[in-house]
Amino acid sequence: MENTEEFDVKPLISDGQNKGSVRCALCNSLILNPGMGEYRSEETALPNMRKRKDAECEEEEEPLSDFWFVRNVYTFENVGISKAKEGKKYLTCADCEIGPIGWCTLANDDCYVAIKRVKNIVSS
Amino acid sequence: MAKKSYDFLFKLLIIGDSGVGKTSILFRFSDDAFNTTFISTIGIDFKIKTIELRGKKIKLQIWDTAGQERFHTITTSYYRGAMGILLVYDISDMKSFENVMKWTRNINEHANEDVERMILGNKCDKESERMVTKEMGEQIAREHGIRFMETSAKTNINIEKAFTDLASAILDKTVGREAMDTSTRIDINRKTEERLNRCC
Ligand SMILES: Nc1nc2c(ncn2[C@@H]2O[C@H](COP(=O)(O)OP(=O)(O)OP(=O)(O)O)[C@@H](O)[C@H]2O)c(=O)[nH]1
Ligand SMILES: [Mg+2]
Ligand SMILES: [Zn+2]
Repeated sequence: MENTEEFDVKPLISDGQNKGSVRCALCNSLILNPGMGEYRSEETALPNMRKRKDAECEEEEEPLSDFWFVRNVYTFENVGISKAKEGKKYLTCADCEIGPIGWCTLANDDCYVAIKRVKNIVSS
Repeated sequence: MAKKSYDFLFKLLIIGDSGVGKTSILFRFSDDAFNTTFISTIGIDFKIKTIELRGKKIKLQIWDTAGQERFHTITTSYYRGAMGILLVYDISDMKSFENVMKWTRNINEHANEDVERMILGNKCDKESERMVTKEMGEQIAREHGIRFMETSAKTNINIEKAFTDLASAILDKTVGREAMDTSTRIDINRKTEERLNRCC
């Protein structure tokens, strides 16, 4: 899942928003419809999406810089919201529960989806 | 203002004894392959799922209650705002079925009077270990005037249908209520329009 090579977000953005739909990279569950997220460039580290088996690496975090900003949780088509930890809640796929695919505030309003951790479907 | 991306938002609660499969019902089973350490450690608060019913886009906000919680600790605050409740038992666990009565009483005591309820007999794939017959489930549901179906989170039987049927019942109720409110609503709409016209 951790993919260190640089990737270009420009083709994924149109009018500052997500051009295509956002789906789970693992199970393809629809997370966000086109145009429902705003591109935000911010430096935020999120815990790794490791499987339970690789528990040794559980504390590791990955720095991320490209996010879809979503104004509240009800804007998502399908999403899971974790319990709070240290002032943050984390976003998961609603179906397979892989995550964190992003984070949100305690009031469930401002959400940030890590663009690298989801599948961005842009048809040409 | 941002455009609203749905027609209705329904809050649903899943309750029932520990181990009956409440969390599994909200999870697309798949060999436990993706269960990530971090998320499973902190736990999931709720999920948003979107369905379409009769041309309406409906967002379901689904709350899974924690295992250790017992009926006597689940009180009014827990049920606040819930429009639908899925009451789950395990067909291979008689105790969990017997407790359906207690859960029902708890709902009657604490939940909103007109909350839509549905009883689910889960793990119906475990036919060889079945302790609770389907008729017993139907019987208790009939006595309480509650919808009922058997489900399997593991083999994905009736899971979608449980959510759709419950949402559909809530939709019927909501739309019925809206129709009654139409007269007042038109008034409000008109006022809003006037205000909008003025400011633009
Ligand atoms: N065979 C079978 N097993 C199931 C089914 N649903 C859940 N299970 C299993 O039953 C066990 C308990 O499931 P959970 O979903 O954790 O139960 P729960 O109701 O959330 O339990 P608590 O969180 O403790 O209240 C797990 O091992 C599941 O894999 C099903 O439909 N069929
Ligand atoms: Mg559970
Ligand atoms: Zn998924």
